[in-house]
Amino acid sequence: MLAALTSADAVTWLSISVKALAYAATLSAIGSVLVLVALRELSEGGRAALRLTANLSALAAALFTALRLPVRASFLMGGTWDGATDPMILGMVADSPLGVSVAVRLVGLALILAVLWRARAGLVLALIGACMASASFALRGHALSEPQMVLGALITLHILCLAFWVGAFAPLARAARRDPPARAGVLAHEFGRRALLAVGLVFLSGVITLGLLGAAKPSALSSPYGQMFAVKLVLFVGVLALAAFNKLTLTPALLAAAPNAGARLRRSIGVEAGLVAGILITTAALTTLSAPPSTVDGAQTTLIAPQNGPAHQTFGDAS
Amino acid sequence: MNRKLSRILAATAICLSATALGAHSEKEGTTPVDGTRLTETPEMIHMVFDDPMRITMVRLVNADGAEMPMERGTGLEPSLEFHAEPEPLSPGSYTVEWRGLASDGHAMQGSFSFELAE
Repeated sequence: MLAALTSADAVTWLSISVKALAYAATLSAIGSVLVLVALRELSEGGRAALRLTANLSALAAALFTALRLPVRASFLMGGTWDGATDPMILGMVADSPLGVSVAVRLVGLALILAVLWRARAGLVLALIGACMASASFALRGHALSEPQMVLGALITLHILCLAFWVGAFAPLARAARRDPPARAGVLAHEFGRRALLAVGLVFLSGVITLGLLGAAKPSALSSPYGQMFAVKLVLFVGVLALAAFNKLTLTPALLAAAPNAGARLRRSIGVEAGLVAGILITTAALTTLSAPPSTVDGAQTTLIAPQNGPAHQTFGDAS
Repeated sequence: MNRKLSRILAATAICLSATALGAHSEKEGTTPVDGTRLTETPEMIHMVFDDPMRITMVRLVNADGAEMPMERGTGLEPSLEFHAEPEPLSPGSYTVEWRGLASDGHAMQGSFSFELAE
């Protein structure tokens, strides 16, 4: 794992950074819409702030998502800036599954902007956009392996549930800071009930996806992909522990208007957001520097020459 | 509830075991063979893929990192094979570095080396 990280060139690091930022902003945009739809206890002020968050996140997500095309083109030309602006290579990238994924996500993000339209139709359009943006994650990379439809559905579900969780950070922190404790407690309680299902689905869809990609086996831990995935799992367990603490300790404290309960919840959400950021960075790194163990020699294109010997082959910008 | 949970776990286990059975074996190779020792300049740098690949960048470098001239025989179109013709080389170690776009959209890179003896 460390070898893969230390041998990465500048363009690969740039790719990881852009990808992680695109993940975070897209999840925030999708999640803000889902929270608007799912949490009825949000105050009017909370709703207005969340609409703004959805829009700013959608704009940032569009920027970072679009940037992935020139970064990929640069990688393909050996990490040169000339490659990033080469029309032929850019066209090739745009025609690839990454280009399709980017196009679908940009349309989805544009629809999310409709959340500013304070009518039911605006929210419906934004919800359609959120689903499209989630589905865009299933249009490239290993999601295209067989069984494609099942993998696509699982990845879309994984993203939707994760986004709901991420999207709740800002409104919960805002409520803990500005709303009366009891009101913030009611919102946290409502989120806690919904999050139980979301967390379960994040975990289940993730495990089945990993299994379908052939990476859910102990031997995978000997590969960089498996090792980076183990880091991701450790961070996920940390997030789960914090979420359980919030639900079982801080939410009842808020409901009982206990002193400092709001401040403690805000701190806890801050740490939770930090751990999720770690998960996103790890995911960006593992999908850039490695591939699930079975796909390296199976679903992916490999060099084959039966009469010849092995050659070193790696993934540069693999998602 | 317990029955539901055990059904979900059973379905997950079936998915996982079915995938493990579906894993493929690794086959990678090139001409010249990686790490081989030659007595004369190879006529051709040759790579074969199991799925069409667009080789976007390929270069032959010596031990000092200097790029050696090489004439591409395969263009940027998706192809199962790639070949290029190097110009006569002096004795020394050489590495072929390549990057490409696989048909599933993955950006890939690889390298292999050979040595030319005196």
